[in-house]
Amino acid sequence: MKKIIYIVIILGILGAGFGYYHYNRPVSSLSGSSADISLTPNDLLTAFESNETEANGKYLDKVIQVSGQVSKVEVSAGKTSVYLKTSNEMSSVICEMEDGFDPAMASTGTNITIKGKCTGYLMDVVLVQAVVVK
Amino acid sequence: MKKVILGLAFVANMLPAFSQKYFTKEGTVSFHSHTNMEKIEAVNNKATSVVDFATGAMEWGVLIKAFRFEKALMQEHFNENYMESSKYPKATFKGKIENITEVKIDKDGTYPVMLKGNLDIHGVSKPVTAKGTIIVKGGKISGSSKIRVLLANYKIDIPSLVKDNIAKEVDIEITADYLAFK
Repeated sequence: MKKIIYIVIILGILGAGFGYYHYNRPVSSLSGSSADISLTPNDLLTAFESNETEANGKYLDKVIQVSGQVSKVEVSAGKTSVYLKTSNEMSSVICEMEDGFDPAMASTGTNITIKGKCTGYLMDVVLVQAVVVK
Repeated sequence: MKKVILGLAFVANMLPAFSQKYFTKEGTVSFHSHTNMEKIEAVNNKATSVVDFATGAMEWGVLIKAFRFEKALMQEHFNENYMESSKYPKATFKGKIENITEVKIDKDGTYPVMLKGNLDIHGVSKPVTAKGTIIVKGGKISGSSKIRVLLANYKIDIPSLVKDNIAKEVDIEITADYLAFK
């Protein structure tokens, strides 16, 4: 009987511990997860420009890997954003890099491969929590 | 010849009046919900905004999925249960600065402004008014405003089980450093 009580107490503590951990768990990094889709910045932008609803259905929340030329690196409020060039001068694929990203890792004019979670399209396609693949 | 030069000078003088469009792709939108039970904060640094200082027309856009929370669980609930961000991926404001004639973007100063327009959240569009500030300093223009939103107005349902954890009214703060549209 005593044994059962001990087991119940231990399970209770484990459950509470798990609940507390689950509740406080931070947003997990994408560095360990593999990309769902890989395409060029231009194809990604064109998909949203031509049919936003369809592109939303296809790409939202997906980890997307894009390779292209860096057109701009912007640091504001401690967050680095890497802009990837497309054939549309006004629009880019903007990759908001994950916390702790070193802006020196990306320089304008060079080629880069980045994966990030797709959040949608405003003037640009925005990927967040992005990490450099190479 | 003199006439041509005069003419050109005249046109050159007119140009600034035509190019008073400013924009940002790095605007900040944040919101807070404070109750005794829980403090919820989220930030989005990827807001876009365009302002035409000639007419006062102003637009904002923000992707719901680009809001960052401290806790992953809050971010998931926000996206999946409350904002339904796969169905409604963005929130927008379209309106104007009502007292645009009082804002002189070629003169340093802090200009209080009145914003009026439609705020579109969760697929529901509602007319709103808000106070804001435009600051001009050394040729740089920035803007900020604060809007209080009643969640029920935007059909955002909070289940009764967690209704004490989430405020019924949420303060949304927006700030932007504007760049000239080239």
